[in-house]
Amino acid sequence: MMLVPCPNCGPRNSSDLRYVGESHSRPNPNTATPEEWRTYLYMEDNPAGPLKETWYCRSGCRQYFTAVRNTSTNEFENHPLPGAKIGSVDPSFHYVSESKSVEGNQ
Amino acid sequence: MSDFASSVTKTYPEAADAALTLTDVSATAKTLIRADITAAAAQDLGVAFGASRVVDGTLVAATRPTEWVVLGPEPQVAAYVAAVSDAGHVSKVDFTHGRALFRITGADAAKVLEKVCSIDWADNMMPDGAVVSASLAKVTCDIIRNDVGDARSYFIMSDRSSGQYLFDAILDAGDEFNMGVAP
Repeated sequence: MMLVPCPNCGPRNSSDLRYVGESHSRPNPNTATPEEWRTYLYMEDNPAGPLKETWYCRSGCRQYFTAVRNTSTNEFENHPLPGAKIGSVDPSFHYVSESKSVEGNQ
Repeated sequence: MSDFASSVTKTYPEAADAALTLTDVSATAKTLIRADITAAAAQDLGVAFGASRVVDGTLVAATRPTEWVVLGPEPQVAAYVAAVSDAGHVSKVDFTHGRALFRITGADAAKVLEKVCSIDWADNMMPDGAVVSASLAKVTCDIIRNDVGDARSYFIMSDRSSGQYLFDAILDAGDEFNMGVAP
């Protein structure tokens, strides 16, 4: 299992995410030459080492994010934002357990 | 919701007194609210991504960074949602009929979930009130920890089309823990 550090959800199994691809700057469509546009769309660097990638957290927060992965070791060099993991939310927002059973209409 | 029909259509032997139970509570009213986190609605909802709270007889859960689900009896949900500000980019959709909702309750509930989902269910990662969206038995679900008294309990919400499959998958995972179906 490969853990991918989603900045919103925390470390997640890679099967919960979709690999979008290498992260490149999009050229200006008004000024880019066909060669530049083709390179942007189809050519990849594919280095053996750190690579800036885009991932989509499809089962979690449904957000796109950028991560740097070492393609030789599958280790991620960036980590989730501090305080972004599940359960580290403001305690004042937490559910108060005195009043329960909201399901109705049964 | 008198015309509501659950996606779980099979019948099961009831075991309300089992130590670990699974209940189909799909008839619970559910409203989805989407809003920018800077909108007044986000302030009204008052709960950040990954958490939930009970307010005015409803359970408000932040299931995505810009998405909330309000659960509860229909009148309370309708009243609460109506009071949430409409200013800015806000949408409110009653999707009661579009989602299946189950409750799993018992000390072994987390052990069942960890068989079918890769989330860390430890108390420090998933305390009472925490909300997570994840793949559960290969179905994308919103899961809300909502303990009942001292008993560990989770709401599990999925698309209606996966409801029957998911119910059976959870029951299958809970078989070794003597899980029963509660009414």
